[in-house]
This record gives sequence, structure tokens and C-alpha cells, in this order.
Amino acid sequence: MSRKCKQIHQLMGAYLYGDLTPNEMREVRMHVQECEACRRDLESRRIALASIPNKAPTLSSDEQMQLTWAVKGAIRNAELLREGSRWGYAFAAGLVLLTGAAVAGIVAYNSSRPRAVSESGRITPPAVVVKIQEENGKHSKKTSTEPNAVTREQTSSAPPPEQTAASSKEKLPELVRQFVGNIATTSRRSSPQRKIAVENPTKIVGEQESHEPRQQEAEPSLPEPVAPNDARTVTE
Amino acid sequence: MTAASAEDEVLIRRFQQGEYEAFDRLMASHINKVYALAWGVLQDREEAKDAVQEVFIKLYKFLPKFPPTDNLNAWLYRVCLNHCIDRKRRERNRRVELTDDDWERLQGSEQDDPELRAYRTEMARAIKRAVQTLPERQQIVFILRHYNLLSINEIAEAMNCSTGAVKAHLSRATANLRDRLAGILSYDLGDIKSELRQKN
Repeated sequence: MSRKCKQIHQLMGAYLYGDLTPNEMREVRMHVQECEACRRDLESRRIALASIPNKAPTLSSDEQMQLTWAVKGAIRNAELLREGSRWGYAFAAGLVLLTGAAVAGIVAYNSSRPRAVSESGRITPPAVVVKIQEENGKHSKKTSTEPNAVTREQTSSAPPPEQTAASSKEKLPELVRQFVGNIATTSRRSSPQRKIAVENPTKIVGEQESHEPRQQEAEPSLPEPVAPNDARTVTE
Repeated sequence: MTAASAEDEVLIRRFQQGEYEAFDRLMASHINKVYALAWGVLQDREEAKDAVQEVFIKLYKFLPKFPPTDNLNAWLYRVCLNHCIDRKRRERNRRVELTDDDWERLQGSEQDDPELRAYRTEMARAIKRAVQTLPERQQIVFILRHYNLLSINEIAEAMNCSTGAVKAHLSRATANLRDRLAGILSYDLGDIKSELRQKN
């Protein structure tokens, strides 16, 4: 097969569909007139293609309608899904805000309560001081005589402990104290020699809250009055 | 990219201005061609319908930023072709065959002569085998051109290749088909022609 024949063979498919440029069409036409082999080749291809149906299938009007609705339905579902996830994000954001506000409220509530400050500058949980003062009246005064200590009794604006128990602010610690008291009593029975130490409980607000009630519940079993300078350590 | 048809351009602009009914008209005017292309590649009616659905969902998503002056036809064919080729490759092991009804329907109106019908059915099967066993790119180019779905330039654009490559694929496809059908065509074609002449 000559180079020209190979070149013409490359164009035969497009020639049969009339997809060549006018120059290429003429070139193929002229070559097959001269070349017997290429003419036979082209004719056989033409017969083969003519035998293959070339009607593309079409959709009936019903099928078209079904497909249109299917597409619209899928689009609508996707939009609803996107809308739903948008609401989901909004809900999550609202939840985060609410949680933040609640935490901020708790922090504000705790920080508004008075703290006993020891010589070293450490803050003693007020509940510990108050309880100790309640249980051991004489020691309360000694505690208050500490040069750098500030107790609830000394703050003029703060109500006395009896009144605060009735106030709404004090209701929660009172309930917690009772609840943890039961637990402390139960645990003390199982280990009577346990020593409860309160050391620097106010570094973190959460920690302070968690330590506070336990110390209170250890109080009723105190056999000896606590020394004023040792107000932060309670031993059984 | 070739220029868009004036009607498509107007409809795309309307859609982009918020007139969503324009999408229905775009779909109605292109659905049959997209379906024919999907059917040609996948050779299965139901899978072709699924492909049409996917293509138009993609169009709906893309339409807000579709340049109205671009050729929507070429975009649709390219997306459809890519989708169908992907699907076909995924299911290469599962050979989907045309039903005989499909091929008989494509052969034209039904003939009353039982012999002629039997012959047509046999021919249809042979053609089906011949087309299905073509290499993938030859098969796609052949189907797109033979069913008059796209021009050579559009096929090149849809397949992301040169027009020269498309012509070469088409030439090889016609040669392969000629070879595969040679045994039955040379004799039977003359026979069928004489039969049709007698009928007329």
C-alpha cells in the first residue's frame, strides 16, 4: 500500500459521513477513481455502514415527562437537604451560644461571692470559712483577726450566713452540700482514718466548686476545733 | 467553543435572572439528544435515562454561572460522555447488551414477511456484536457520528482530542465494522435488495 493510499484510508470514515473539507473530499474522490483497491475498500465500508441502522432512539413524551419530574425532584431534594443542613448549623451555633452564656453566668456568679484570702494570698473557699465559723464561733473571730483575711462577716454589704442560706444564691450550695454530705458520710464510714485536706482549691473555678462541698461535709465529724491559722486544713 | 444557539442563550439568561421555568424549556429541547448519546454509549435504555438525569442535575447546578454565549450542546455532550464512559468503565465486567427490541426498532418499521423479519433479526444481532466489540474510543466516535448526534468538531470537543484523531478513530471503526460484517453482508445485501424490489 502506497503512502497516498494510507493517507486516503485515514480519511475514508469521515468521507463516508461527508465530514471532510471540500479539498479533502475531492482528494479522496480523485484517488479512488485511480486506485482499484481503495475503491473496493471504500465501497465495502459504505455497504457495511448502510446496513447499520442510524436512527437514534428517542424518548416518548411520557418518558420525557417522567425524566423531567425525576430531575426536578432530585434538585428539590438536594435543595431541601442543603436548607436542612443550614438550619442544623444555626441550631448548633445557638446551642454553643447558650452554653457559653450559661458558663459565663456561672463564672460571674462564683466570682461575685466573697473569698477568704490567707496570708499567702491564696483564696479560701467562703463556704469552708463560713461553715467553720458557724460550727466554731470562737474561731471565726480569730480567723477574722488575720491581717490579710477577708471573711463574709467583715464585708458590710454581705448578709450574715443565716440570711444567705435563705437567699436564692445560697440555695444551690446548700443543696449540694447536703448531697455531698451524704456521700462523705458514707465514704467516711468505710474509711474512718481518711484525711481530707483542702489545699489551694481556688486555682480553677470548676475545681473550687468541686472541692467546696466535700470540705463542708467533713465538718460535722470534726472532733477538735480547727486552729485559726490552720483554717485551710481539716483533719478527721 | 462554538457559539450557542440563540434560543439557548436567551433561555440561559432568563434562568440566570431568576426565571426558573426556562430550565424546563432547555431540558425539553436537549433531552432527546442527550438520551440518544447516553444510549449510544451505554447501550441500555434504563442506564441511559439515569445518565440523562445526572447530566441535567449537573446542568441545573452549573447553569447560574454558565456563560450564556458558550455552546450548551457541547457542554451537555461532554458531561454526558464523561459520565457514560466512567460508568461503562466501572461496569466493564458486566457487559450490557441491547435488547433485540431496541435493534429491531432501529431497523425501521416491522415487515410482514416472517423470513425477512428473521433475516433482519439475525442481521441486527451480528451488527450489535460488531459494534459492541469495537475498541472503546472507536465505538464512541462511531456512535456519536453514525447516529448523527455530533459533528466531527463537536466530537473532538466532547472527547477533548483533535479533529484529526476523531477522523482516524472513525476510519478505523468503519474498517473494523466492514471486516466483521463482511461474511454476511456481501451475499445477503443483494438478496434483500432483490426481495424488496419484488415487494415493490
